[in-house]
Formats: sequence, structure tokens, C-alpha cells
Amino acid sequence: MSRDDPPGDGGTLSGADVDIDRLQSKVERVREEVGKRIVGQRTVLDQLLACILSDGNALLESNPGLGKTSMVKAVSAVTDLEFSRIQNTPDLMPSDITGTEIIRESQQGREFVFEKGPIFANVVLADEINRATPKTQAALLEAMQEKQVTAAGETHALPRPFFVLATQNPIDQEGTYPLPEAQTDRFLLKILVEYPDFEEERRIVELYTEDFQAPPIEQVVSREEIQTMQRLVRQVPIADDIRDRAVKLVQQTRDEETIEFGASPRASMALVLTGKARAFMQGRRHVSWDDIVAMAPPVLRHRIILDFRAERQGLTPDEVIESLVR
Amino acid sequence: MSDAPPRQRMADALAEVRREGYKVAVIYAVVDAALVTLAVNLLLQVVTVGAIPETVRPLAPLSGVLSGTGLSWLAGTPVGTSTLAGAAAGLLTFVVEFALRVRRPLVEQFEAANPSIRESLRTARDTVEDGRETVMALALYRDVLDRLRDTSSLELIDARRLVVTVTVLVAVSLVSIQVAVVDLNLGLGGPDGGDGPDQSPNQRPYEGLRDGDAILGDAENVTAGDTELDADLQTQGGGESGNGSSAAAYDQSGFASSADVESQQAGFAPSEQVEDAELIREYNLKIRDIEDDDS
Repeated sequence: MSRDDPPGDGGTLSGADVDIDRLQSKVERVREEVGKRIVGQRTVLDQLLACILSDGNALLESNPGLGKTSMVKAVSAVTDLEFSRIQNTPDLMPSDITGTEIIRESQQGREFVFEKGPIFANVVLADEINRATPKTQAALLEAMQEKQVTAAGETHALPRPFFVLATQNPIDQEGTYPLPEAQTDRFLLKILVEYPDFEEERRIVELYTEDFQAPPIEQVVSREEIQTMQRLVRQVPIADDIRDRAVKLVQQTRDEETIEFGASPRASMALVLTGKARAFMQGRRHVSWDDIVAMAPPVLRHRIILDFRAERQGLTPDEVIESLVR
Repeated sequence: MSDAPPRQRMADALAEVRREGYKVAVIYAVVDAALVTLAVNLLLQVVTVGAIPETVRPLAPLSGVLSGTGLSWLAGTPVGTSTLAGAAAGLLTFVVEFALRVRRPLVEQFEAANPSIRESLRTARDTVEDGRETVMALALYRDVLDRLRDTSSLELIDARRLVVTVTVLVAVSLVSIQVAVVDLNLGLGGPDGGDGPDQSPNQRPYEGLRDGDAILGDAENVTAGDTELDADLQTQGGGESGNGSSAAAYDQSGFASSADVESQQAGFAPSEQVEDAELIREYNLKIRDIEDDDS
């Protein structure tokens, strides 16, 4: 995840133009609006928002029926961002995602016109990405990385801001194509969605069994405001010792006995950037070590491979990460 | 100050934090150095080591340099060894303690004393050092400057430790004064109890009762004089005062004398007044008889 260009239109920020407090308060309003449709899952929502403010892509993993798609739709609904959904199947072709040239007849005759695919949206929900073929996965992931699509020798830039929120199922592995580690590393965060508790599930049942319509959501943040917040997030100051500790944490994953393959420097960048995003979302002007600790699991869990002995002992990546953080 | 840009104000605030840290280090170092000075001075006054002289002239090597100035008298001025050692130990304590206390970054010490702004202050410090003036950096500076108003550098001082140290300092100073007055010395340096070339007045030998024979020497025969006089002694009542009555009593008692001896009132303290003059006269006669027999 190395991007040299600033997000959005590349405009510069001026202290006189930016009301930081107002923008930070928008985050709380987003939480309130999304909460009208999504019950609980506060941590998942915060991680999703941190991913968006960091201009990254997220991989959501959970059992079916836990509201992954609903949450992504709700998040895109509180903004004026364009939303599209890609349902991955084994027969999905790369051109089905990126778009293709079609012949169109006009008064001037026949001409090739590039028909944009569903990837040309601000928020792209790639459902069950592990069901797509590796070739289709590669096309999607290449678009994620380059923020552009090349078709018939022509390069088409993707809209800004651009996020891919992919989902996958930990069960039902029959007929799936697991993402290789090199490609999962391109996702800024891997977010786990857990089952709700009793109270939350009761409220979900009340909410969705009394009306056909989902509760309305108000748009509270604009595309420009999201881009401004993304620039501000990158400017959030971080103390030298906290940054060094974050880098050392990632390096520890390479030396840990229970980890066969540790995380790359891309993880160090992701950890610091998402730490800044979390600090911004909490209304602070500086990164706290608590931010790094909170973002370590979603940043690292898909970037490390446990040793077989650790797996045999029943250790999970999150448990190993927690032991490194302590 | 208020017109300065936020980064400059933040830098000034950090400089002020560091100054407070230096002040605290000086306070601790001065108090501990004073305590060490007095303690060493007291120890060397109570325990005298024979190899160490009582006084020294530390500026004697500089006599050549000082001779041409009006300060030549300094070269010969003796200074107490205990005082000099105490001063040296105190100075060393000051330097070492100050160096140890400022070794840890002063801003971090302030953060530890004010944990509510620990992370934000440290972040602001690093951001100022990097010279950042982004929107978020400036917002951080303003935020930290606002919160610094609610902090205090008094938290850097361990009041209890300071009070204890000052209390001990006062106690040691009082003991030092008492030792100087009482002149207590354990004299562990030699057989003479620490006598040295520069003996203080407090070390003069005992001048109490001595051997009388050693003072009087051997008995000698005293030759009789050429003139013999008869003295007429009279008894005198106890407790009398006044020249008239005692002179009369003196004339009326004792041996007859051909020569008039003008009587004089002997001067003695009333508490030593002889109560039984008759007994004394009798003893005197006996002593004279014994002497006559010997001659």
C-alpha cells in the first residue's frame, strides 16, 4: 500500500479553511446514522471507518448472515459516495469487473466504446471474493493497487475516493479459491465480524421484522469532506517512540517462534496510518499507543502465517498478536 | 508572545518546561550537597585520623602567584581539614546529582509528573523538533498549550523527600554546632590521642593536682637566722571580725616579747576562719619543740 499521490483532487489544506472539530464530530454522526440500521458491531464499524479514512481497502470475514453487506451499504449511504456490488462467482471474468469494449452503432458508424464495469464506483463491495477465480481476483486486486484499469490498451482512472470492501466466508470452503498471502497483504485491514449478543440480536429482530423498509439513513458527510479527512489523518502527529514501537512490533512478527512468516514493511505503514485514523476518529490531535494496540489485530492477522506447531496447539493469529503487544 | 506562531509558542513552552526541570535538579543537588558537606565535616571533627592534619593551607602552592597581589595573606591562611573535605564532598555531590537528574530528558520527567498530557506533550515535542506546521500539527500545539495551563512543575518535586532531607540537614547542623562547643573528639589516630604539630588549644595537658614532692623537691636543711625574736601569740575567737578586737586578742596572747610586733589582721575568707585557736597554738608549740630537739 504505497501511494505517493494524495487522495482526492490533491488540493492543499489551509488552517483557515479546515474546521477540525467539525469534521471529527462528523465521525460520531456517521456512527449514529449507521447505528440506525446496524445493531452493535461498534468495533467493526470503527475499523471500517478507519480503513476509509486511511484510503485503504478492507477484507471482511464472517459467517453468513452477520450483516457484512448491510454494513457496507449503510456506510456508503451516509455519504454521497457511489456504491456498487460485485457478487463473485467461479464463472466471473475479469472484464465483468473492470469493463470491456463494446461495439456501438451510431450515425457515424460502428465504434468501440469502453463500457465501465462495476468497479467504477467509490465504494465497491466484492462479495465472497474467495469464490472468484484467481484471474478475476488478480484483476480486482490490481485495480485496488493501481486505482486504474487498463482495457484495450487504454488506461482508465478509477474515481476518487475509491475503496474495495471485500467479504469472504470462513466456512463453506468447497469450490473456493483462497486469496494468496501476497494478495491479502494488499488489504489494509482484515475485519472479523462476530455474532451479536442476546440483546443485540433481539434488537435486530425487532428492527427487521416489523417493516419491509430498512430504517432511513441521512447523508451526513460528503465526498469532499471524506477527502479532507483523509488528508488530515495523514497529518496527525505521532511521537517518535510510539512510531518506533509500532515498527518494532511488526519486526517482532518476523522473529517470533510461533510465526512462520512475519509481516512486511507494508504492515508497519498500515499500523501507523490506521493508528492515526483512529486517533482522528476519537477527536485527538496525536496518536496514542492505545491506537496502535487497537489496530494491531486487524492490520496483522492476515499478514502472518503461524507455525504448524502453534496451529496444532490451537493458537490463533489474534492470540499471538496479543502476546506480542503485551 | 501571543502573536508568535503556534510552533514558536510550543517551542517556548518546551524550553520553559526544560528550565523547570533544571531548577528542580538544582534544588535537589543543593540540598543533598549541603547535607553531605555538613555530614563529612561532622564526621571528621568527631573522628580524627592521625595521618590527616588538623588544618591545611590549600593556597600555599600559590604563594608565588599571590605575593604580588594584596591577597598574599591567603597563602598562609590555614583551613580546617574537615571543612575542606566537607566542601569537596559537597561539591562532588552537587555535580554528580545534577548530572544524574538531567540525564533523563527533562520533558519526559515533566510528562511523568503530569500524566494527563504525557503522550500529547511528547508528540508535540517531537513534532516541533521535526519543524512540522501542518494543520493537525498546529492544532496539536494549540491543544497542548491550552492543557499546559492546568499542569504544574511542583509535581516534579518529591515534597516528602525534600522535607526529610532538610530536616536531617538541620539536625546535622545542630549536632555540628554542639560538637564544636563540646569539643568532642574520639581521637582514633595515635597513642597520644591524636597530638600533632598543630595542636589546638583544646588539647593542652591536664593542669590539675600534681605530685607535691616533685614540685617541692628534696628536703633541705635550713640554717637558722641570726636574729631571734619571741613572738606572742594569742587565741582568737571564731567568727570575729573587725580589726580592733582581733588586734587586741593578738596582743594579749602568746609568748612575751621584748619587741613590739605590730599586729595586723590576717586576711582570710570567713569560711576558712579558724574555730579553735587554742588548739592551733598548742600544735605550733609542739612543732617548735620538735624542731628545737632536732637542731
